[in-house]
Amino acid sequence: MSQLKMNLPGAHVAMGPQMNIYTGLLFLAALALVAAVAIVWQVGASLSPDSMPWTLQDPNTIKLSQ
Amino acid sequence: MHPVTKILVVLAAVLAIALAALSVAVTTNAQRIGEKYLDETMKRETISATLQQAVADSSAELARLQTEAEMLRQQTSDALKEKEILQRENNQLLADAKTARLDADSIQSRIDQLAATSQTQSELLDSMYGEVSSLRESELRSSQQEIQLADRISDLSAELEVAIETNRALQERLASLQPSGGGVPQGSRTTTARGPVYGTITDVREDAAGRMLAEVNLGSADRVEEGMKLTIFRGNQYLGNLVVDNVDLNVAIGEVRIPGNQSFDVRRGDRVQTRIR
Repeated sequence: MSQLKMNLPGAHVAMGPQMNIYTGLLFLAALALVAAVAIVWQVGASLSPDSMPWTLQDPNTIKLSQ
Repeated sequence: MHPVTKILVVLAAVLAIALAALSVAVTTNAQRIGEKYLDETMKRETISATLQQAVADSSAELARLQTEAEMLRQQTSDALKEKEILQRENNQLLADAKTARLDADSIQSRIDQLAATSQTQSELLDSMYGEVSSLRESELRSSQQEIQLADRISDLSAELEVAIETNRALQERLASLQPSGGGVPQGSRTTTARGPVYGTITDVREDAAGRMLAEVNLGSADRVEEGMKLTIFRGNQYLGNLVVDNVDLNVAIGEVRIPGNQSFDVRRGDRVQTRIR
């Protein structure tokens, strides 16, 4: 029965993983990474030749997006 | 581990990878842009220096051009003044040219008139030349006729004198045939009071010039003078004339002139007489 995730009354209730402080810290880290990615995306878009942050500039012909 | 925690872990990993990639790209672009900026800055400075030099040169050129423009303005002013002077001279010359053209027309008309006059004079000269030629020919013919008439008159005069002399001789002979009459011997000379003087040729010869000279027995005592023309005859025949060149008291020498184309042989013994005056 226990394999079927069923518990009989009076039986020991199986407890699952719980969120803890690390979960909260990861959440904050994820928020910070999202903010950093957004900011770096904007700066990279302004420095790229075609508004795509991952496009590299030609060393001989520098071109900035409008 | 709680599922939420797992999801957050995965999400954080993905975001970290994306952030790293974006950081590499942004850093590379920033570096290239910075290098380009430095190059452009150096170029700009170089261009700025060049421009400053060019501005300085332009200022000097501008000053020179301003000076030259001032000179050109001065020259333009002088040229305008000279233009005004030349304009006045041109007007004066145009007026003179007009006057000269009028004078030329007048002169041309005079030339035409003179040409017509010259043509007329030429025609008159031609006609006068023709008339003069015809008059000259007629005068020549008249002179020849006059000469012929003079010769004819001379011949007739001589024949008349011979006839008169013959008549007189006949009268003398007639008188001599009368009983108391005496004749005039042949070869002697006879001097009448106012009539002609008769004589005889005593000698005939030619001088160095080929002229036929005759000597007669008449001289200044018989009123014979130099240049006097005596008539030569033989019997009743008129032979010619004797022009006296040299006169002595009783002898005279002269040139025998036979008129026309006649060829008489004057010889000693022929008679001469002075012309009737």
